[in-house]
Amino acid sequence: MKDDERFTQAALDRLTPIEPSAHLRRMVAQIPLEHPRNVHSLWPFESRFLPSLSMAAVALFGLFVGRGLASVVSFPSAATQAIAPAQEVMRGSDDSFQESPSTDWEAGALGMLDDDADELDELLILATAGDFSADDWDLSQNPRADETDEGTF
Amino acid sequence: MRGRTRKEEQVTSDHLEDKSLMERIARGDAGAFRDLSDQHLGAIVTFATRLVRNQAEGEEIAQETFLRAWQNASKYEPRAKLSTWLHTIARNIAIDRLRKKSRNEEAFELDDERDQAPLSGRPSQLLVRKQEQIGFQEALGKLPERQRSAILLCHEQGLSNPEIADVLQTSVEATESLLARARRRLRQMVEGESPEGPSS
Repeated sequence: MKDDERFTQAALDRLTPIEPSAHLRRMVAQIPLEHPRNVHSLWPFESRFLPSLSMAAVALFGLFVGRGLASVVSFPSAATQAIAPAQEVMRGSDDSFQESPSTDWEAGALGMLDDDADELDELLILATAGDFSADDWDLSQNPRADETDEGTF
Repeated sequence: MRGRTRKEEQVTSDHLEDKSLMERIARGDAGAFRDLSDQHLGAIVTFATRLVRNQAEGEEIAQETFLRAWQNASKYEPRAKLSTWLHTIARNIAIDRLRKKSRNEEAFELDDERDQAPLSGRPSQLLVRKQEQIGFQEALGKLPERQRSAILLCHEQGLSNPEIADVLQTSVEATESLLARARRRLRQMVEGESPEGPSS
């Protein structure tokens, strides 16, 4: 085996290394001039459009998943969450009103004290932030409405 | 346990130099490209010419190799030595050309005028040496491409077995086996023990 190795080495050593011609040297030296670097060569991705396509694909996927989730789950907004307790109270008072229209709408019918009723009024004003005008309410059925200083609440 | 050996440190240093050089080339530094061609053009031309057995074609392969190196400098990874990377490119180009040539039935034409070393000595000695060279080159040309590449990379280009394995994209063990078979067949053919040539 070693003999084969020595024989091959000796035979190859007898062949003089081939020198590149002047023409080849000139042609190789011209490569940077004939193929100048452009901006695209500095782009680190294989394709110029690859990052844009990837981002578009991710965005589309996000939309698809987002829409799918929206149809299954409803997400309450912060404002809705804020007025929910007040709406709950309002719904309760309306029910009381419907059930006993002839009775006092006042706190007594709801089992509240006067102070509690006042607090309820203030809470409603805060929660609706003045979105309801007096016209939205049948003031004739609310005797206390005349007593309030404010025209709307 | 000792740290890295001196040889390993040298390899790492070479890789860093290669990386730095290729980074400069990737940025479009023509001077760095000139350094690259000064260092490797001779070896690549020799390898390509021996592989295709024609210097004109070997020079074309070398030119294309350096063009690809210029264009793909940013893709170079210092996992392998720069010379290994260049030899791999050159070999791939040579294989494409050999395939085209074999299709056109023009394979393995000797370009004796340019490929032979200048000889000196008595005419009878010159004749013997020339015949030996031609015989060896013919035997080399009859080897399968992988064996020929392995022989050239090992004995002419001075690449280590792992580097040859990188170029041939095979394991080190397979490379050693390939080299052993190639040397044995080469010697048999030159010494006339197997005139019909090797089986591929």
